Amino acid sequence: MIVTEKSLRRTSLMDFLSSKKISVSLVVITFFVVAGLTAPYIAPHDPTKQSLDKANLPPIWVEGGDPKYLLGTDSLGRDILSRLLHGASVAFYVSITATCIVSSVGTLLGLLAGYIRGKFDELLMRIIDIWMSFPPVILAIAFISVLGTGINNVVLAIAIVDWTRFTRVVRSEVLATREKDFVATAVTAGFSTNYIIWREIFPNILPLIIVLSTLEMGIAVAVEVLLSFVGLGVKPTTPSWGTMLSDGLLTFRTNPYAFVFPLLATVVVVLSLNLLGEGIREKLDPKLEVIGK
Amino acid sequence: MPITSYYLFKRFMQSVIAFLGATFISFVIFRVLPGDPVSLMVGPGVTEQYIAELRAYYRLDQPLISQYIYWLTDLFTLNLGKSFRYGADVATLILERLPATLELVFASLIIASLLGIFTGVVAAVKRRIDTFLQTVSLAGLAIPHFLWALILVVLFAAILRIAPASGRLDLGLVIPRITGFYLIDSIITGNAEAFFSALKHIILPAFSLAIGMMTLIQRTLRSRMIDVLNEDYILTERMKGHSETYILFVRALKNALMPVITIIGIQFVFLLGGSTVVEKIFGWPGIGNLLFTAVQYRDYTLIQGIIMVYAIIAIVVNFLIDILYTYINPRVEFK
Repeated sequence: MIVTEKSLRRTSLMDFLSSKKISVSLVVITFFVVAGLTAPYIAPHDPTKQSLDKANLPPIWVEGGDPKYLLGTDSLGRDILSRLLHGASVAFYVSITATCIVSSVGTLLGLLAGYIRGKFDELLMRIIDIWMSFPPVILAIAFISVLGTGINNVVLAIAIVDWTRFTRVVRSEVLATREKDFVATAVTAGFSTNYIIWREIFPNILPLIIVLSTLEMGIAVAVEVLLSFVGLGVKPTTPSWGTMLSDGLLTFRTNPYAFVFPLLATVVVVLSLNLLGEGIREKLDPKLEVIGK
Repeated sequence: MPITSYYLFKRFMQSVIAFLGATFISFVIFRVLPGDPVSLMVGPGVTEQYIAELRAYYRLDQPLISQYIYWLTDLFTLNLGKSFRYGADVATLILERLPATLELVFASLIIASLLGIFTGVVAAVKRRIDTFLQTVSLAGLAIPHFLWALILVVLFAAILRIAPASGRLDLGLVIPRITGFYLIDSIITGNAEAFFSALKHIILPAFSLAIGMMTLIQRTLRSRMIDVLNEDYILTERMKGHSETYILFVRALKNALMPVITIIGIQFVFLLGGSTVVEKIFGWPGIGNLLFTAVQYRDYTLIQGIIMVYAIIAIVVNFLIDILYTYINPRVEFK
């Protein structure tokens, strides 16, 4: 039993990387995660240091570029590359922590509601229905307006808003899984509910959880950028792709680079996370269809 | 049709419960979370007496449940309280700007449905176009509304300069308020210049909102159409000698449309949420823009009212979509 599991795992790792969607998006995401983690060491400049005599420099490959500022500077003379690197660390910090919270809460509640059913399930589903009648972005804005801005409140707002969708999808998958023969066998064999949930059902819904978590990471990156863009995300002094976008949009005519680079970074990361989710979905279970992202 | 009316009644009651739940959440968010709303609103340097008066005005000195009941009865008489920042009635402020938001949201729904359905049908029959659409649709699905808005505003308003970057109408043009929908009002008054100006202004924000839903409709319809086109009755239609266009867009489409309506229902709430930031990016004078101003000034009565209205729009539209669904497919079962 254990032997087959191991060999299965090994083949699937090779199999995974053979998917173009997975390998390409993994390379891109790893690049940005590493960039974010090492930002304090590799960023050539202080991302918040303003030098007005160096304002609005273009990237070095454009005429007038300064070799010290690889991607140029924004309207306040801050180094765009350094801000992008620090912005990557903000984006992935929010994305990873929010996804951890959302997926743990969603998995736990989804498993309980789907397997135990009854009053708890009914109540939880009604709460989720009501919760989901609010547009998610608006709920997040409402929470931030009460909690205040700041990176951890952004994480909290994303978690408070997104646990519902995750729970619901996990629950419906659990509902389908619990009807399978191996669960009935385990029940007949007298295993405890706890054992059945974690050893029989959980491994079977793990593929779905991985796919949902990858997609959630993409959503979280987008929401952080969105909230920071409208001034409700990280503190204005923290370099984030969202604050870079809102600053850059104001000076787009004179300095398009300050806007285009953070836009590219956001689009590439969000696309890659979605591509990764789709690639994993195709590999793990071609039948899985996640709608209503 | 007793079953349908029974279904409609149940569905209506479900909306009522969702509505009550939504009112409770919008009420509770601003009272249970840390921080007293009044002290958050006024900031430091105000007399104790003023704070006490405000607390009494907002009934914060009473138990939570009676506060909620007061608030709910006020809601039904459209008394949403006074805005702290504007000094005006919250309901009036919202109603003034609501048509702008609805016009934008409905315009993007129409664009998404028409283009999504058209490309979905085409993708089901034309292989080469299909491959192309499959590739671009990933971007359509993954990129959120506000990023599309930023891409479109820079591309078409700043670089190509073929569409305006902000507002609803060119300066100097006036449209008398009849419905509040500029596109409709300008037609009613026969003002062609205003109509085209309004159209020019709405196209970019509406498109930014439409792209995501359009892609989803296209993808869903494509796979459904491929199934439907293999069914026997399509062959019968062909033998009857109907034109291919008629078979595709009338006979086949009618049967393939069901999941599309479900998708529109699921996705609408995301589109509505996305409209807030899109309004901000395009300077669109709707309630989304109002929400950001309200948040900036910590105008909690106004924030609460706006959030409430968004939830109501979502609930009503989802109810209408479900009715439409029952109408098209009378076999629908209520779970």
